Amino acid sequence: MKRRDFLKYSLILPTVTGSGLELLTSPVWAASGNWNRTLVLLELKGGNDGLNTVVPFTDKNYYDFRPTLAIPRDKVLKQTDKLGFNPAFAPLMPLWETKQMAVVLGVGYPNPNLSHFRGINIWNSGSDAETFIDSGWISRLLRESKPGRDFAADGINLGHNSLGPLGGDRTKVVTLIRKPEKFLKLASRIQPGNARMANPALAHIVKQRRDLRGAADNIVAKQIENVNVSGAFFDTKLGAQFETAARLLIAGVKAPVLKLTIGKFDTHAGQEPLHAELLSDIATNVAAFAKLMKAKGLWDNVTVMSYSEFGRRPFENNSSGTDHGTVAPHFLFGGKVKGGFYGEQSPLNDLDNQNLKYRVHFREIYASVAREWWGLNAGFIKEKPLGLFG
Amino acid sequence: MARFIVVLIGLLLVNQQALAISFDEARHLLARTGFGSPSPEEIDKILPLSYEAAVDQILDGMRDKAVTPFPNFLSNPLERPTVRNMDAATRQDYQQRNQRDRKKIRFWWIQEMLDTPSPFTEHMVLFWHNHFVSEISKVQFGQWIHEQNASFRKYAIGDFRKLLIEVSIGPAMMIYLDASKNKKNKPNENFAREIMELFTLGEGQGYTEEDIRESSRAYTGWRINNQTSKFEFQLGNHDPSNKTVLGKTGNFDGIDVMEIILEQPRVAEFLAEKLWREFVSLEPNPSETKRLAKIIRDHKYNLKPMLKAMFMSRAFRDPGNYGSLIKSPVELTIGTLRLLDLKPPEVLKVWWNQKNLGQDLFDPPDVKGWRGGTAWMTSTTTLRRSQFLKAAYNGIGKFRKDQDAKAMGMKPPVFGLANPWRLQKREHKEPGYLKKLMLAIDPVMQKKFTGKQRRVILNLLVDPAYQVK
Repeated sequence: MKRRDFLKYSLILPTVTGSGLELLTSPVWAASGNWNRTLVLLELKGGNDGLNTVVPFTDKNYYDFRPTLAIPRDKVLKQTDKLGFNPAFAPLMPLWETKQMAVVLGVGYPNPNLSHFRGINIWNSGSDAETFIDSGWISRLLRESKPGRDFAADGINLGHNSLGPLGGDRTKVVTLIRKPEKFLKLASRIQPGNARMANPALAHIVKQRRDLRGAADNIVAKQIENVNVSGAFFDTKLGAQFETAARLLIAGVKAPVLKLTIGKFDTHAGQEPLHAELLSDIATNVAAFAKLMKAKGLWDNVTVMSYSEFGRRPFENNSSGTDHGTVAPHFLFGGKVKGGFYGEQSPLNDLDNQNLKYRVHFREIYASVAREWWGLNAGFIKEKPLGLFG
Repeated sequence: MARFIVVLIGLLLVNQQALAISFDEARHLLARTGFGSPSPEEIDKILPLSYEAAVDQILDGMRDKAVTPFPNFLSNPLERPTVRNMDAATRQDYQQRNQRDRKKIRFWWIQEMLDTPSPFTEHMVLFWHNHFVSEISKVQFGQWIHEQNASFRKYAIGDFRKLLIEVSIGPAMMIYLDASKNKKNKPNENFAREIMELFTLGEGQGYTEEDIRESSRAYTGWRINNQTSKFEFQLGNHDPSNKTVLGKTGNFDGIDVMEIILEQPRVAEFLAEKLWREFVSLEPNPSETKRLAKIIRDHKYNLKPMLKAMFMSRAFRDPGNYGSLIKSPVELTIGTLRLLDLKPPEVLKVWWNQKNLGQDLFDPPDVKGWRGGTAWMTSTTTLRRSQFLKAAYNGIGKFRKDQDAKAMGMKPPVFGLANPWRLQKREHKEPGYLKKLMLAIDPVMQKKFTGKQRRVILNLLVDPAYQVK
């Protein structure tokens, strides 16, 4: 009941409180989203260390704060007179140079929460730090507009992880891990049964069965077994997820969101060389994915977007690791992405309780995805889009 | 007249208490406190008792030690300090032994769950494992995890204060939350944060980031002694200056801070809410959890009286509450194997199934543990649950001996063989028995659920209603 009230108000609020000017500047209320465009979500689980990803290589503080962990100046892939990338990002440089990679700097939100659980919950739901919302931000967008019947699902989860932004009882999500063919064959035989809604646990179970059967029938009809892209990706868990994502898209399976996960970013101790390996895993696979999508003429219809529950502390700890922090940069890749830097690097000489202050609200990225990518105007995102797509 | 009615109602209530427990109540009580699907024999055992006596029997039947023999570990944590100087071959051997130990401890616990005469004990051990989370991949040593698991069993429904301290200074937790890396001037906040957020107060409940920062200094100086691989306090690494934690200021050490936290009334509420979600429903009733929290405080963190009150509560016993919780992968696998009386020749296969269903014992997804509830059921696990149930059903299937299967050119059932007549004879005596035994609520599908054909057992197992307890 409460959630419904909240929803109701979030729909009304912009018109009640917004000034005429705001109404003029916001795009026209979109009736239906352009769900044919796919968002590939890439969750960096554990909290990515932003300062060792996009490196402020001329900032003395950076080297003072990180005596063992700082990336040596001569190793940084320098892009401006102040910022450069971790050398592990080398495979991404062709995408960066051809303006298909956007880097949003200083991403965070007010009163940041440093708990893994709560942090990711805020990012997943798109809520404020003080508000608890169960549904994911994409599930909330889907209430504005639903994909058509020809879609396999609202989202396909390819990682061993929670549904995150796709969470919420009404969203139709299937999880496809490891060998999708075998799984789909079994799934297309399942009999869903009728749910009696009085028992929420049972209703949830029957809904899973129904969604599963529906998605399986849809995907099986597209014959993904005929799409073979083996060898294109890194032999890692993330590589396998990108491989399935590519196969689904090439086969023409329709889903607004594919969710991928890469773990191990909670680098409290012995951060290197693990962190560099993780970045390299991402860079290699994203580059391979982009190449494949371009070859199939799909790259203009796909965007890859990273996110993580928080960034890490500017100071390294005594275990050659970094503790939970606040701000980090995030990345978008795609044929329609307008490449370059957005936002601003959070300065190291202006900290809040040892932590970076945010420069870009994470919902500004969500606003861009909602409005510029899918053509949706969602009441709960009050932030302005960043102009990431063109 | 009014007084007469009051007396009459009183008499009825007293009578009700003395009455023998009903089949459905016995089933519900055992399903919730055990592994979701009690066996006919377990139910028979408490049927002559009153409801309260049945609750007492479950609580009094707790075991502080496992029945399964201690695993023979190949590695010893004392080798840990020497890793740095090992040559490649020695190091590889060391890592392989550790890896095998990590499997042994998993198999050991699964065996204990299958064999224990007190499923409630292992349910509580699992509850604590998911409360005081440690991931074995980080802890490395099966022995350390085993030590922690023994603490959970020792204090399963006992003194939470002792449990908190014993687990916190255990090597498994010290390694998992980097407490042993917490040094003066360079405190590591991981442990300080999780103790408040996950172990005692709950996320964002009555503490601040400042409390975490301050208390992390109190935990400095904690170490694992390399000669004994036990906890030690190193004064030289301890920050002796004043800390202000939860409004108190002093030269606190880690144990002092834990005592300060335990003085907060919120701790008992947090525990009551969590236990409520585990055993009663996913939506704690605030007046009930406040009442139960008071029982925890009144008994100085001894949890047994509170658990009794919870199992006696109207909300727990309400038939409308039957079948409202989704079985965890451990409950589904262990409960089904116990129900069908299957003794898996390879525990590995049970582990493998649990892992595939999203619950790899000793390897929860992160510090927050398994989320449980509806999160257990995704499209993937829905399918795998059916596959597991069909494989288990094969154990009471057409073969009486492994040789029969081999003679037909088929693999013997992976979870072993059991005689289906054990269940069928009950249905024979009392048609409809299997349905009320196996399902907490009415089935979803339109199938044959009554009758002594083996197929009836399969229909009941794969019905969506079997997934709830």
